[in-house]
Amino acid sequence: MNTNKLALVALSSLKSVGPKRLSWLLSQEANPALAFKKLRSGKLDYLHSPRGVSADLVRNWQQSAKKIDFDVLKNRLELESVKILCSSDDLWPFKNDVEPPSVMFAKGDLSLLDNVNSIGVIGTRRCSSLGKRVAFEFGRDFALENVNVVSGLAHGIDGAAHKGALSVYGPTIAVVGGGLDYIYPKSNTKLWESISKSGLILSESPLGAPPEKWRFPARNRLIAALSKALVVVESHKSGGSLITVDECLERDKPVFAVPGSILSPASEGTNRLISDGAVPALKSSELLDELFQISDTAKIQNNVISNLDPVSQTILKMCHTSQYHFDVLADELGLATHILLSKITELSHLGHISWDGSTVSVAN
Amino acid sequence: MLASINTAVIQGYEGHPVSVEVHVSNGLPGYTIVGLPDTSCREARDRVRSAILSSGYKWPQKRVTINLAPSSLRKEGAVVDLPIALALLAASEQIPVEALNSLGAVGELGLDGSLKKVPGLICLASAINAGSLIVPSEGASEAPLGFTGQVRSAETLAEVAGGLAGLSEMPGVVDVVKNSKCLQQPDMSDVAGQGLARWALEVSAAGGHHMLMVGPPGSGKTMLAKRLPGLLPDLKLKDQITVSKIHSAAGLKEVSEGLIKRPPFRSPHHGASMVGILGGGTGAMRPGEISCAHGGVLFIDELGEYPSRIIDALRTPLEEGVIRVSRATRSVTMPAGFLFIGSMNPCPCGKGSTDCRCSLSQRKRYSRRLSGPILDRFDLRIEVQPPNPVVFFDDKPNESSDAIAKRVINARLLAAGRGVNCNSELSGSQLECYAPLTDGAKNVLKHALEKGEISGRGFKRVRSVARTIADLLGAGDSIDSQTISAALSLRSPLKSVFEGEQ
Repeated sequence: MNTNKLALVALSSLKSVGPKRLSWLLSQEANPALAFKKLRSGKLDYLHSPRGVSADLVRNWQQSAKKIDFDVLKNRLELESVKILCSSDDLWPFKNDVEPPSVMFAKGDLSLLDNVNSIGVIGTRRCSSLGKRVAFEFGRDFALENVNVVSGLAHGIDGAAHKGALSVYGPTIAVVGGGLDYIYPKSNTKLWESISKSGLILSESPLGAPPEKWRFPARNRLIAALSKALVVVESHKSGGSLITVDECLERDKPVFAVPGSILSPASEGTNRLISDGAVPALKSSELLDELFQISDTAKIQNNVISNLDPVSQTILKMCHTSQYHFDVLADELGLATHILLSKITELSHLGHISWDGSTVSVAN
Repeated sequence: MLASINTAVIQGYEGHPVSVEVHVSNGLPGYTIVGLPDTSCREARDRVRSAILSSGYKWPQKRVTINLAPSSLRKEGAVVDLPIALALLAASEQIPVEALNSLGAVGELGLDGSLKKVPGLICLASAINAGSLIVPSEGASEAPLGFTGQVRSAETLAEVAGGLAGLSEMPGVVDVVKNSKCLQQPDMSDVAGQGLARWALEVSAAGGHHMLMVGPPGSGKTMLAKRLPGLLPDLKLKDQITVSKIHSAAGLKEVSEGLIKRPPFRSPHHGASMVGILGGGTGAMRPGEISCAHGGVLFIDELGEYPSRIIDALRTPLEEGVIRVSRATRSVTMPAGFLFIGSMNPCPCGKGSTDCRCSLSQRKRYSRRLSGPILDRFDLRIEVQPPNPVVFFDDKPNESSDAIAKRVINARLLAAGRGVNCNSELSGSQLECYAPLTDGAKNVLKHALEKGEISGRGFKRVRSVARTIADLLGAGDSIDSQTISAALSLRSPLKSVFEGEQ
């Protein structure tokens, strides 16, 4: 890891430094190592500093910069197996972006950045179970065709999209708000770990940075920058998803929205997007065809279930249309209680359905 | 003059024999009770004096010493009123001392000499070592259930003393109540739909498996739980006596109508205290709700509303079948072998996943009340959903409790052949012997273990549930993959409730 990268890490970890201030610091001196030296020796010109950067803050930076030891930084990054990306890297995904970050922290499989096809699947944290299913299926179907599924590793839609991609061992990129050693939300720990193993987690924030509120809009812009197109699965009247939509529009990237019931508050934002001109996302295969000219996705569904016994296939097909209460399913299939119960365990062990003690639904 | 008579006091749910000795001697008139009496027992002094005077006998103008032996045992309650009065009358030579030979007595006295009911008569009677026993008329029918000799019941002290002195006839003999009345238990035919829950209930009854039901309000959790005792077989004679003793000691009424034959159903409110649930208290260590549910069902409704320390305190009794209540000066072991049925809502608003209005943190706080170890002890975990409205207007009759109980009894007979009451009591080595797994079943379990669906305990429990399912279905000796899969489905992790929504 070269000095320039470590200097970038050092600069990004200073107090109250976000993407904007970091790029301002670098606008003073393009070479990060030199910029860091300048800051340390007090040669930084703060007369023309942007609003909010006071003389006090610059002094604080100077003092903390003096304490930073590059070896310690390096060891910590290696310990967390976090890699650093900057604009000089070949894999740098923000080459033509309007508002590129100065540095990216990455954990996982960097080769995913080589993949030119990527699509953002995002939505609200307070989603409906139906929305989660849609996100899961979109994530799964995109990943099956080797399209990167980009999302924000939050509760609800985001998590479901990642899970969908992981369910077929497909590529998925998570962009998070806080530092890469700060798992948030905690309940997504398992998902976080599996993405850092078989996918990629990116963050603009230095290690140890808590997921503060202001980091998320900046994170949303990165999701927009990393995606070829954006699918909003569910969004309330206002929310972070709409920021990502704006960032996408600014970059001239197509935005799709999944239509929902007009009575569901979780679909209010997405329905509004459609009425404002977003394309309704009706089928994953149509999207793939339109964006990447990938067609023939009918096999997706069939692949999954072709090697099951007829009863299991029927159960799975029924669950694809709606979730079923156990008693209803038993009635319609005419199966004895214990036989249906054993089929449920079988199918859920195969990862096809989920069972919560009374209802059977498609796994997500 | 010295006189003594047998009686007993209660500790926990059992009586302990006590002998009341009264010594009347010359000296300054005085009146003391020794032998570790507690406040209510010491008050016997004043009650006995008034009762003797009101009954037309004389109070000796001498030195009166009363000893309650053994002196190491703490005596509580007004049980010793009648024996003290009788021994005192004998010691002061108002009735013959020989009349007290091989006689036992229990009862509280009123100031007018009337005899009053005491709680736990069956426990007291079974502890008294005597040929005949005198008890208050009220609730007297309990005594013969625990006492082998002759039981006589009286209304007043004068009646007893007169009889013993030979002045009048002895009070009448009380007979054993042979045919105890069985309370009408609610029937399963009232439950419409709920195929899954009905089946889980049957498995629970047949194998003695603890069950957790999660569901929105009004989905029928309580209705189902109340019908569980009706599916259980009658108590064995030994258990009938134990259960009757516990209920009598706890002051529950049913015992005077004969031994309790049917498994009890207890459903304490979530406002109950730790001592109320586990047993204990400052005095005679009253049996708690878990002991009252011994041999039957303990239904904890609204688990989420209980303080988690009370729920967690159930862990040891659930494992051991007994509760040891220890206090500074004494400890009592009481039976607590119950079938644990819990119910709770999926979240504070109760609606569950579809139109829940609770925030994520609210849901987490709610589900966290139930600790992992407790959750792990429920062999059967299902969600109960409101039935499809169609079933309410369906003319198809629902299966009655009797029909289900027949299958349950058959399954329990099979378990008895393995040397246990029910399959949930099978130990690890017994499971190896009586519930061998086929290769397919092993694979299913291995997968579940790898996925973290079940714990080490869960591994064992699933096998015993599978054994019960196989027994109910009349399947063979070994457990195949289908049976073990069915058992696993009944042990749903209830993800939507306990693992947070993701």
